[in-house]
Amino acid sequence: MKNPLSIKDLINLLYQNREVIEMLFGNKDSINKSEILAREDMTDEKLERLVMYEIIHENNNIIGLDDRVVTFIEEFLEIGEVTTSFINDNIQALDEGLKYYRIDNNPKFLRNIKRSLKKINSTTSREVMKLHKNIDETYKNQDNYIIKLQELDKYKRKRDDIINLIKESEQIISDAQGFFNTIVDAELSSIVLDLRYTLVRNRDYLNEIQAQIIDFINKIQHQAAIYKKIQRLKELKDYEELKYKTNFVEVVANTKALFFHKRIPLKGRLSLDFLHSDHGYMLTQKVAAKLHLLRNNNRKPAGKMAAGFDDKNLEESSSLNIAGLVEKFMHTEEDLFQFVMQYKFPDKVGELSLEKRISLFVGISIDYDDKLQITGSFGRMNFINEKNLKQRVGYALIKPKKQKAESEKLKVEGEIPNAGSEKLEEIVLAKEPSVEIENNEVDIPKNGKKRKSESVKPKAEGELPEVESEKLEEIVLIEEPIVERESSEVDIPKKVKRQRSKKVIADEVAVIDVQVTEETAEEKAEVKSKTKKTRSSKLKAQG
Amino acid sequence: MNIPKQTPEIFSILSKGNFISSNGSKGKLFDVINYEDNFIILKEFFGHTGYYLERGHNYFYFSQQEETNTLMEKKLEQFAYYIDVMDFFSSMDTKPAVGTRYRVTQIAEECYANERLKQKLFALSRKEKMTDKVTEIAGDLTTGGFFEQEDEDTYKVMDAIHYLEEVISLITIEDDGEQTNP
Repeated sequence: MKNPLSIKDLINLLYQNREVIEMLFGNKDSINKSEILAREDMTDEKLERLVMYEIIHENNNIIGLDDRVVTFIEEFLEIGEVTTSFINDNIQALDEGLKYYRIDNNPKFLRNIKRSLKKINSTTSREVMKLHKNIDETYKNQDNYIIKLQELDKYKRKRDDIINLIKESEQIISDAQGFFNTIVDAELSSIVLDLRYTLVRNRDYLNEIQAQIIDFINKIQHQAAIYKKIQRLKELKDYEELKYKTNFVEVVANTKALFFHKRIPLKGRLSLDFLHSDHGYMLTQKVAAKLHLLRNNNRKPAGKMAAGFDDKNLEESSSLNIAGLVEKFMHTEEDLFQFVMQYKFPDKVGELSLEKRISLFVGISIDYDDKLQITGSFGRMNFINEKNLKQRVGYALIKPKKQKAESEKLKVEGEIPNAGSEKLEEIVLAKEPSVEIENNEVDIPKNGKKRKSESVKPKAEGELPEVESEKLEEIVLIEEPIVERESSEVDIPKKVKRQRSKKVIADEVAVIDVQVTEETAEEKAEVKSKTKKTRSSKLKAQG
Repeated sequence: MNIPKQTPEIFSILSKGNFISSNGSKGKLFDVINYEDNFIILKEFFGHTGYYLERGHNYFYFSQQEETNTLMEKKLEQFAYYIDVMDFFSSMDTKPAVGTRYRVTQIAEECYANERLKQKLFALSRKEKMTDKVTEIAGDLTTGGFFEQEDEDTYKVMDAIHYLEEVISLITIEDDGEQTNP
């Protein structure tokens, strides 16, 4: 037989088996006997002892904690289901205590009353808190909506119970208020005051909970209706009736939630200030390393190019050295037209067509008119054109203007590079062929200013004196250094000027050339434009 | 006016069209918005950006006023899709109520047993395997913010599901005498 348990024995017993009890409390109704016995801290005798004192009970090899122990733990830890029985019990006890105390003013009964009051206070608060917690938990996390609904309904009933109990407690207290007043006990009055306050507060709280439960229940019922509706909508959708039998389009049109909008992620730009900071620098370095942008980082800039590396890279182009041609013409007694027609150009230039020769004639007569003497009389020439037609061309007889000491000046050229402006002008005149070689587009000997600038050029371009002089003599193919091109570009405005003056003279020529047939006039107009082209195409012939 | 320090985080979630639900992993942010006057403060604050902070039952979201026609079409399409999805879930034993947990394998299992569900599922996803189909749909709902993935297999229904329900409840069906689906 078992001995009756003292408090000390009970607590000791619980303490000795605390591990098992904790485990059993955590796993309600699912522990096998063998599982318990397999534990190191458990033996057959120990288990038997626990069963004997009804701490645990055994049922069909399943071990479970005794309900009293479970309740004890739950109550102490304020967990578990909401029960109104505690409050109810305490109210009963309070009622009894009051009754007994009225009969017999024994302090023992007063102690009971006080204890009951305190317990009502604590249990009521605790149950209300638990209720609220459970409702919230059920609503938010209960899987099954039918169970959820029923559970919420259950809590609603419990709330009603608690509220009734609170009312009951309040009733008892207010009834007994006069009686309490007769008892001179400081503790009692403070307990009563405290309880009253707690009850009022909890009642308010419960009212709030009530509203919440109703709200939740409504929501859930509403949801159930919604599920039905969803299925109905789906049905309509499958029949393609959604847009016609419902206001689906309208409703969706009115939902403004961003959720339905196209999601455009907001893209911020990097802050430049940030990139200038140390942290930004580190970051860019990191990114650069990732992209292998730094692999050539240690490469230094190349050294200076060797001087003259580009010399072999000279451009070759052949162009007619018109100035040279004119120079040769100056020493003949022929007229210009015949000279140009009969002139034997070097092989590199190839055979010039009649048209080209005529255009050359016109070009020379325009550009070099100050060296030429336009006699005012005409020569005539017959020829057969491409279409095998006989044509007759009339042309102005142009003779060279005799100049003095020309050859002398040519010699002087090399010796007096920095002569005065007057001399310079003359020198430049003489020097023209060489200027022509360098830049055959800047060769109009009409304008003093131009000459000056031209005369400076040979000096600046003194790097190629030999080449120039060679060409001056032989005038074969010119090797034009690339540098020259720049200067030709710079001089474009001058060229325009020259073209203008050329036109004026061309008109004169046309006047002189009275007897030229219409065809030839046309030809000449053509020729004029061609002259320009030929000049710029840098053809050069031996003078 | 004291703007909460979590505002950037809140904005980055909401501006993507997502919801902030009280029972999700971003529940903290929900609490922040829900705290004292924060909702009003943030509504006013975000109002300047053209986004309007809206409160639903235990969730928050952004709305925007500007509408274009192409957007409208997209919205209709999208919502039609959600009707299908919601129909699928509400046809199951476990309804998609707030807090419901779905396991992909469990749904797939149920679909094997229920021919009607199976057909619905097949209409929703072209993935080969049953579980992949379920995962795809659950993933869609997750990006929408209506579900949240708890682990590889488990999805939890968020408060934001109320939003879909709200819209659905707004739709009125013409009474054509047809029996509604039980």
